[in-house]
Amino acid sequence: MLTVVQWRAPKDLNTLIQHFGHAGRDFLLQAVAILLAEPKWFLEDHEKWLVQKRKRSQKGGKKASRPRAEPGARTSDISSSDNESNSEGETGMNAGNNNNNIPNGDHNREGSSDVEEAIKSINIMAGGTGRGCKRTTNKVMRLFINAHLLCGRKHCCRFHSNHYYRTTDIRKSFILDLRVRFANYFPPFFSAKPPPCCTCCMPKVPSICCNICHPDLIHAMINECNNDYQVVPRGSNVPKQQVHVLTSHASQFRDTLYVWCTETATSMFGALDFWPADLLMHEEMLEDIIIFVDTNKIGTLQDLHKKTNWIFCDEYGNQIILLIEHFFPPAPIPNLFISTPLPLQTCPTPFSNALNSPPHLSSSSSTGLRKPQAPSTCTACFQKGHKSVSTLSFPLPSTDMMQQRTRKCVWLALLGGVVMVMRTQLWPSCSYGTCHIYRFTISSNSSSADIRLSSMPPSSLPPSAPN
Amino acid sequence: MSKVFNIVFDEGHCITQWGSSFCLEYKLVGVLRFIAPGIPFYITLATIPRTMLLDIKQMLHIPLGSLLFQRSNDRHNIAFCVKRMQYPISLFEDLAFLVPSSWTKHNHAPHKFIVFSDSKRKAELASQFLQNQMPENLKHKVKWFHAGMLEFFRKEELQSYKEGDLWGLGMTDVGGMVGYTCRLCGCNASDSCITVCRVSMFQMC
Repeated sequence: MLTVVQWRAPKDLNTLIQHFGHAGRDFLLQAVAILLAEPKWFLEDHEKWLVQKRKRSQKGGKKASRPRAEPGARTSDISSSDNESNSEGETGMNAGNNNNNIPNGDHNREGSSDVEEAIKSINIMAGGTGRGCKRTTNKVMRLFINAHLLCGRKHCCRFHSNHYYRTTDIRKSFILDLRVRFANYFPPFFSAKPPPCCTCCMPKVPSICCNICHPDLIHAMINECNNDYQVVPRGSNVPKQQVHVLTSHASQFRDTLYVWCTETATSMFGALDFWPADLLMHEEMLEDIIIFVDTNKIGTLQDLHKKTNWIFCDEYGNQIILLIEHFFPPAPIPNLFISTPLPLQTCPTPFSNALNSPPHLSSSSSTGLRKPQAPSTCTACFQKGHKSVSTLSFPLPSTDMMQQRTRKCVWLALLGGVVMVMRTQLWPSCSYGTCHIYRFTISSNSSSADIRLSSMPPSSLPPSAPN
Repeated sequence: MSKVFNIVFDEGHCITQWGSSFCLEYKLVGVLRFIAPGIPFYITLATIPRTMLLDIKQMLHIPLGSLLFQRSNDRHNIAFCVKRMQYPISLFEDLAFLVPSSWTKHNHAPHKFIVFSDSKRKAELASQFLQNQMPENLKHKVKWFHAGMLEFFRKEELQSYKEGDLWGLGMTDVGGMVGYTCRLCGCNASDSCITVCRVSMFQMC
């Protein structure tokens, strides 16, 4: 038997399952994979923490000024108390730890209805465990860790991971497929299950599932040791994280964005899915967007794409930009023709005319002193507008990502003497690019490398460079 | 170029997971599609949720007609267990159950274990804690293992883990990626090792 332990819950379920997968590579062995999760991930501790915090606020009386939403009803208003929760998110760990010393019967009984409410809320939006882990968490991880609250509906840990990776669908389709395939061989009264096509492919039901389904067996596998270690309350020397505090405007925007995200995702992926909003836009990215918007870093679609690299940016980015503009109307563009006059004494007399004239005209007049240059002519293709030495014999626009890759690719291949040029943008009908191969000769006798083009396929010369 | 007949990515989830954080070159791996046109690509991953599937399809320019083989990644011989930490994180006291106090030299070899953590320092601290739990003559049985080590040392260590000289390892994610691990973990009892259980696979032409 082999034991794999994950110390502290990782960022997402992928990492966890990858680590767990290192156990029991030999299928003959039975292995245990243990996740040691911090208390802040557990819903009960969060409830306890809330109770304690309420008490604390009653004692202090300072922080209780703002009415708080009940924990069960938190699904309706997600942003209900994020401002204050962020500031105290770090102390959630402390509270959870301290509570271990206290005999907690009362708290549990008091909060049992809260827990039931919370189960509902997990089922609905699968979220809201610990505030402190809000930004680093994944909803699936929360479900995975809090699976014991959902075990009434046979939702153990394994169910959640399987659902996330669509393994349940695979199993169903597999069985259906086999039924169809073996329908002739198995008459309806034949009770035995049809054999799988091979032993590797057929999903098997685990003999020992998890600590919810088989608590005794798991307990026997993990050798518990009696530890008489006294829990020392953690010192206050843990540095607090700098948290960005949202304005009220931004928290409204965040509400709307969450609602939009859920609605769009539900229409996209169907209402049956567990994590529709997560599939459309991950919570972490959403929080990032809100902070970016609040600090005025996202204004256009390009910004959104650049900052977040969202997959659905092309399809749904416009809607988000509309939302942003609704909540944060862009500042009116300052009129170019009204310029604040400089104080007269700093301004020498020859330029005093320029005060009345618009600034762009004055700047053009200053550059107008230079002689206009004739457009350069390429020596390779004899077209005006670019030089042969500059890049290649035609200019490559540098803005688009694809063309940056192109250029990189071109320079890489140039070392070998053969250049492959992709021009995906010019033939949009061909979705994945066409390669054109040109042979270049590089004469190295002069100091600057002279690149000459001799097209290999003469029919496919580059289309005229955009001048 | 004509000699290349296949391009295969193993552990394809690293392309998206690491491509956005610390290994930015992975993002550009889609360029290979243009450098080597017409050569089929295979990508294998063990964990692929739907978002990652979309991401990888976009990153590697996978056309619509490509094939997706998906098999279950549910490992029936691994039992899951979620435990709540009882002690403060900085003390690693929760790991103490891995080293029962009854361990002596004359015992039969105990169950092996691997502890994964998310940084090198934590892996070292966890292993040091476990070493301190063990009796003096057995301290060398637990070691740590991460990317900051020399390659020959890692090979040696894994070899000894395989053979049963080492009982426990504190690892990081990168340590698990070295590639020997697929032959490492199952081999404590029998020598038959099934290398990898692959789940999803693309084929594209």
